[in-house]
Order: sequence, then C-alpha cells, then structure tokens
Amino acid sequence: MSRPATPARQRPAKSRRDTELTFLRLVPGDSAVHRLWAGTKLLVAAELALMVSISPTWPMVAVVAGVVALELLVARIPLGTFPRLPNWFFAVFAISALLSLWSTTKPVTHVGGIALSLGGLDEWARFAVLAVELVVSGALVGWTTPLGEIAPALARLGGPLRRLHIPIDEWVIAIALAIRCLPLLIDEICLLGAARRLRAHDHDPVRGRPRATVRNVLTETHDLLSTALVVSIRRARDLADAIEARGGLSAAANSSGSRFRFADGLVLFATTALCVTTLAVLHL
Amino acid sequence: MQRPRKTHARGRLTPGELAEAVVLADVSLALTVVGQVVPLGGALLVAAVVPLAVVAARHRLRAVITGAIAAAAVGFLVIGTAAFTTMGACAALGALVGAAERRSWSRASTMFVGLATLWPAASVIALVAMGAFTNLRKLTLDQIRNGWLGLFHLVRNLGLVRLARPGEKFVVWVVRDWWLSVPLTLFLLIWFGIWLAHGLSTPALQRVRSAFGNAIVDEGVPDRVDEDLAAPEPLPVALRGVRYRYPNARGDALVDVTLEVSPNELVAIVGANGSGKSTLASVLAGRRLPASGELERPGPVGLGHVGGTAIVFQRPEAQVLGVRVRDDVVWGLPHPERIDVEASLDRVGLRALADRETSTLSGGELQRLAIAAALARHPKLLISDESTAMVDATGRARIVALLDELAHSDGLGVVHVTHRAAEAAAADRTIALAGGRVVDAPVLLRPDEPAKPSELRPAVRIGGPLITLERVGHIYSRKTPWANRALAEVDLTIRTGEAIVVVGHNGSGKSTLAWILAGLLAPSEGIALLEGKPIVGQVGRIGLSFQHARLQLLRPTVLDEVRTAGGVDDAAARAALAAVGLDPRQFGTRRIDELSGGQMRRVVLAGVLAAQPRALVLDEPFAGLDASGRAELDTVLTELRHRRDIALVIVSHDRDLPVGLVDRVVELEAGRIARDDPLEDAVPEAQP
Repeated sequence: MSRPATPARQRPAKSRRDTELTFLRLVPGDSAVHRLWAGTKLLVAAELALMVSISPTWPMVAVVAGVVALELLVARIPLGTFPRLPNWFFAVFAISALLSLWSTTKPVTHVGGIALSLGGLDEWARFAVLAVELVVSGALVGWTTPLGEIAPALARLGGPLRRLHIPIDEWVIAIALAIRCLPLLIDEICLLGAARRLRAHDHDPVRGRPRATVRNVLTETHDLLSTALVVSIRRARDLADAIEARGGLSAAANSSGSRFRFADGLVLFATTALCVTTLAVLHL
Repeated sequence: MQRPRKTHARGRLTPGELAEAVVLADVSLALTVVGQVVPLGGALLVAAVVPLAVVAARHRLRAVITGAIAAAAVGFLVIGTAAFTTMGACAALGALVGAAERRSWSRASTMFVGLATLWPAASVIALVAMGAFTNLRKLTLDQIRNGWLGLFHLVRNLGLVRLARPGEKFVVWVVRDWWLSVPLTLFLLIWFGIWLAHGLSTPALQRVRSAFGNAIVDEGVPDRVDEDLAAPEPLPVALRGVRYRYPNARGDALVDVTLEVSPNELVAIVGANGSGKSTLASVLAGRRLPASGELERPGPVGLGHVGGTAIVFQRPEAQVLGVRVRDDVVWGLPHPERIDVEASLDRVGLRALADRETSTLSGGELQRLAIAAALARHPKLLISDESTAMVDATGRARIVALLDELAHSDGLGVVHVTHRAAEAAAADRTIALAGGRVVDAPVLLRPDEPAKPSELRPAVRIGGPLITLERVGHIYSRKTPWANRALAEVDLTIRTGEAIVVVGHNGSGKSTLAWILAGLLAPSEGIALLEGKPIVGQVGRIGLSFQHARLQLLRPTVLDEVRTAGGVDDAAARAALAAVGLDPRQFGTRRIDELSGGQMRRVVLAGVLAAQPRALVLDEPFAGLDASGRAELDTVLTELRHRRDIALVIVSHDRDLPVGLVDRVVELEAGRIARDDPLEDAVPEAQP
C-alpha cells in the first residue's frame, strides 16, 4: 500500500496551548496562605467539600466560591497556574449544557418557538460550578504547600485514629512515598507514550502504520501496560532498597514541619463559622 | 503450577511490600488522572485497575488497601473527591481480580464471587451516602435526568418519537426510584468492570510473572537478618570461604570469597558487570546471608541505623526518599529535629542546597546527598555499591575523594564497589572479582559477543545537510508560574554521515534537544527541519534511544521486539540484531527481562536500526556500562557509521567518550550552545 509523502503536519507552535497538568506543584511565593499549616489547608478543603455536599444550593456554592477566591487572591495564584484543558473537554461541557437546556425541567421559556429549560440550565450551572470549585480547593493545597509537609500534617490529623488500631503511620509513610514517586511515574508514562510514537511509522510510505484493528489496539495497550508495570516494579525494588538502607520503616513517620499556629486557628474558626451560619440560614 | 504460600501473613508491611504497593497504586492514579484529560480516557480508567490487581496477586490485602489509601490521598489534591471513589473502585476490583489470578479461578467463578461480595457492599455504601446527602443526591440525579431528557427531546425532534417516549419514561423511573435503580446500575457496572478487569489483568499478570519469576509473594529482600536489639557493631568483618546463590539461579554468584574489612581503611572491590561484586556488597551490608562459609562481626550490622552500616547504591534518583534535600537527609531517623542536617550536608558540599527540591539535583549531587544521609547516621561501615557508575567525571572524582577522606580522616571502614580500575587507586586494598571468585587482577574487558570491525572504509563520507535547527528555543510550562526555559537560540546543522556529541551538565537542555531532534517535541521557538520539512510531522524517521532502555522494549522477547519496533520481517530483524553484536540464534528467543542493561540498550538500537532511520539520537548510551559494555557499544556504533549513511547524535554528560567515534563536539550551557567545534582527529581510526 503506497501513499504520497505526507505533508508536514506541524501545528504552529506559538498559538498552541499545551495540555498540561499543573497540580501538586508549589507556586512560588510567601503569602499568608503559603504560611498556613498544611493540615489547616486540608481541613478547609475537606470542610468546603462537606458543606456543598450537604447543601448544594446557590448561596452555599457562592460562599464556597468566595472562600476559594479569597484563598486564590491572598496566595496570589496567577491565572497561568490553572491546568490547560484540551478543547474536547470544553466541547463535552458545552454539549451537556445544551442538553440540559433542551430538557423539560421547569421553568421553561420560549425563544423563537424553541422551548428552553431554564431550570435544567440552572441545575447544570450549579453542578458545574460546584465541581470546578471543589477541584480548585483541593489543588490549592498543592499549589501553596511544599509537598514534603503534607504527609506529616496528615500524620498529626490522623493521630487519634491510632487508638483504633488503624495503621496510620504506615499510611502516612505510604502517602509520603506516593507524593515523592508520582512525578517520576508520570514522567515514565510520558516516556512510554514517546516510545510508542517513535515506533508508529506513520511516516513510512511503503509499510504504513499497522492497521488500527481491535486486535492491534489490544496488543498495543497490553504491551504498554505490561511495560509500565515491569518498569514500576523495578522502581519499587529500588525504593525498597533505599528504605532498607535508611533502617526500614520503623521510624520513618517522624518528620517535622510547620506547626499549628494562631493564624491556623483563626482561619479554621472563620471558615467553620461562615459555613455553619450559611447552613443555618438556609435550612432552619 | 506451583503456588507459593505467603511468607508474611500478618503484621506490618515490609519495605518491599510497601514500596510495590505505593508505586503501583501511583501508576493507577496516574492512569486515572491522565484518563480525565485525554479523549477516550475511559479505557485508561479500566486499565487503572490492573496495577492494583498486580499488588493483590503478589501481596497481602493489606498492601492493596495501603496503596489505594495513599493514592486516594494524593489524588484528592489533583482531581478532588473523585479520587476517593475512583481509587476505592480500582482497589476493590483489583483485589478481586488479583486474588482470582492467584487462586486460578475461572472467569465465571471470579464474576460470581465478585458480584456476591462487591455488589452488596457497593450498594450499601452508595445508598447510605445518597441517603445522607439528600440535596446533593437530588441535584446529581436531576442533572442526569436533565441530560437524558434533553437528548430524548432531540431524538423526538428528529422524528423518532417511538424511541423517545419509552426512553423518557425510563429516565424518569431511574431518577424517581433511585433506591432500586442505583443498585441495579451498580450490578451491571460491577459485572462489566470485573469482566474487563479480568480480561486486561490476566495477560498483564502473566508478563509480570515471567519478568519477576513465579514467586507470587515477592521475595523482596530475601535473607534479611532480623534487627537485633543490641547496638550495631559491624566492624571488623571477616568473610571466609563465603558462597552465595540467588533463589532459582543456575550458578553461584559468590564462590569461596575470603576478605576482611576493618575501621580506618578504604577497600575497593572491582570487577566487570556480573562478577558478583554487588552481591558481595549486599552480604557485607547484611542484606543477604551466605549459603555457606563463615561470616564474623562483633555485633549486628545495623543497616541504616545510627552507628551501624550505610550503603549508597548505583542509581542516583532511585534512592531519594525525601521531596526536599533536608527531608531526605533525615528520612527514617528518629527525632529528625535533633539531627544536624547542615553538618552532614556540609561534609559533602551541599549545604547551600538544603532547601532545594531533590528533583532539581544532578546525578553527582544526588549521590553526595545519599552519602550525607548516610553520614547523618554516623555509620561505622560505609558501602558504596557502584555509586560512581552513573556520574560524570567531575562528580566521580568528588565522590572518590570523599570516600577516601571518610576512611582516612574519620576512621570509617569504607568499601567502594566499582567497575573502574582507576578508582581503586586511592584504596588501601583492592579486591578483584571475576565470576564470583576473588582473582589476582580484574578482568574488566570481557566481550561476550565480540562484534568484529572488519573492512572499514577509510573515512566516512560526510554528505549534505540533513537536520537543520534555526533559532530553536523551548520553554516548558509556558505561561505558568513554573515556566522554565530549556533551550534558547540553538542553531545547528547536522549532515549525513556526521557524528556529533552533545555534552552538558544536568539541566543544560540536552534531553530537550534530543526530543526536538527526534520530533517528539515541537519547539516553542524557531524551526526544526529534517530534509526541509518539520521534524514533528516525521516522528520515527530519526531514531531515538532513551537512557532508560527498558521503557522502549515493549514486546516480551527479543526478536519479536525488534520486528515490531522496526516494522520489519524476521530476516531483517535478525540482521539488525547481528548488526548490534547480538547473535540472533542465541538472543532471538530470550526474554527481555533476562537481558543485562547493556544488552537491553543494544536490542533497542537493533529495533531503531531496523526501521532504517536517517539519523540516530542516543541519550546517554554509555551511562552505567562497564568497560566491556562500553567497548562493545563503541564497536557497534563505529561500525554503523561506516556501513550506513546515517547521522549520529550522542547526548552525554560524560566527556570521556571513545576516541574516534564522533567528529564534532557541541557543548550546551544553560540551554545555549557554548561551543561547537570539530574534534581534532575527525577521521576515525580503523581499529580502536
């Protein structure tokens, strides 16, 4: 099977916005939010998630959005921090909005003979805003906290669970190692993707790319997955060696980080008061 | 098939179990996260079950749970609360499929057991959660109803009323009677999930097993000596007639080894790859018990404990445990606040970097950090297990000087394992190993499959321009707070037949340049052309071999790999193998994971060459190879240049490349070309 030489498919690099995962990276800076104890930030994120789960109403959604926005402002998080999502993501977003608009949920308005469901749109918007603000509130912890401080904070927060014979220390070590290894593993998965692209041969006028039959796609998926697993297990063995070289897991959970201070108490009190008041006003 | 029993049935996880659980759960999380941002990510979500199934097949349930909890906690910071449900589902399905594989259940039994256990559990959890969060449930269900009603509205407007009406009724029922519809949906989801996960996991588990042996419960560090409560006293250590054989190995790794190590001395252990020197280091560190012979020391080894033994391994990035330099030094130490981190870092010359993230350090700096972590434990015995193998010449010199100082000024017993005879010069004694035995002189050059450079052409023909880079620059994470310029204003022309080496320190932009040359990365500035057309549209025409060769070997056996990678038939694959000095009859059917690091690199090279590339980019091809491995690769590359009209780009942090291999040196410094000079002896010698 022959085909003419493929024309250059290079997209103009300047206009292209790369899809990039920008989570779990510290945004440089030294703001009040950066200085808070990691545990406080985690508690605030958990609290906000709990509040909108109890009461997913516009006032509560607005309160949570306000808290998140305040955090973003105080921490001076630039717009470029937010992950750049691929276009199809927005397409799915838009399609779901359109479908909601076509639903028959009241109130319904008529524009030029077409019934548009404002009720459906309202619910869609509330749901979308809620989802986005929750992801941002979680991501904020990663953007404003050195990664090394997260696991010790969890160790302190989970302290009471020790009495229930829950192996909290083991979990904290596991979380610390998971944070440490995730960037390396994501790099390795990217390298695997590159290895796949390098052997794709879609440039070749004679052989062409192997046909994308179900069988070929399955084989390729299987190849990539198996390679990822083998490479990861090898990495895990190196990691185990390194842990052994530091004397094993017995003392590993100890680590010092920044501690609970007055500002932390203030922030926790203020958020809790705000949330509880909103909840009371809405439901009592 | 033999199904070994678990060795650690209860109690805390061992380091081996924990590490594997965490790393594989992380892979699962990475697949989930990537699954959220790429089209058809749903397939990746199913694949995310497989890593946890591997944990379940190889370890205890406790490992699966710990791994999943760690990944969920990290995932919360990336994708929010969705991480909890996703990782929970992956862990449940993975635990089931892994257990099924371990016990050789049929797919039908797996389905039955899975539905009988997971379905009730998932239904109860879902119903309780939906009952507790009434308002969120309403909003979510309304959202689902609105979406589907909108869709059916569209269907109705298309004239398909017959389809739309029952559909609308169904959706309304699903939302109204959620307490019934949710469990039913879960039943179908779980049924389908088990079916898919079982289908994906079983073949993957088979390959994992073929790579790591049949032992399902991983042996980890097999003969680990249990820690004594007594204070560590590792020195002086004496070995007499020690023999060691790895489980399932055909031959002995160590035979009749006799040696002594005392305080205040630097002992070098030299030998080629596979001579048993790392095994000997393991025995000295107390990580393996000799099969026979005598081993005497006054007290416990105390590996990693204060006043005991410390070990530094070969791969720099693999032994870092802390996110910041400071955290890494005290990792695993009780009372980290009482440790004088600065003093330890000062000894190795890294004091200024205490608050840097470990991911920004170079290989040499990381190895010195590992030594600093060792020093924070005030060890009596320090073992360097090839710690200089992956480090450049400057870094090597610093490490060797440091080891010398620790032995002779601080009075430690230091054992330095290396394949470089030159590094043994500073040692008080040198012990040479070959084939697991102590020998008089090191056998460093041991080519197992000598490629014969014969009838070389007198000189390589250098042709016209092949690759042109014009004012190429690249910024990672552009328009974000982490924007990081890797390359700037690079002008480079590479001609057919030319061989260049790109040198530079870590972070000088070499790897970025390699990716741009291979077309994997579109430069954010300037243009990169291959024969006048952008390289990005021609991925694969320029071959690239990674430093981490294993990631490029996707098929299970050697010949299959070369055939698939090159897109060629059997004969061409055999020829390509022969061209890299691997006998196809001997190596063709070998499994990838049986190969040594150097052999893996050559198999990658064979696959790349089989595709007949116009140019070849090699990222750190010599890193970690011993003298014979380097010599073999050098022969292969030199011969390649003489037989084919191919351009060669070697990316390296190491300046001591084989003489005569390259004609031009390009030096990168902070992303810019600092030097671009022809090498003096551009005409390669006929024979090294």
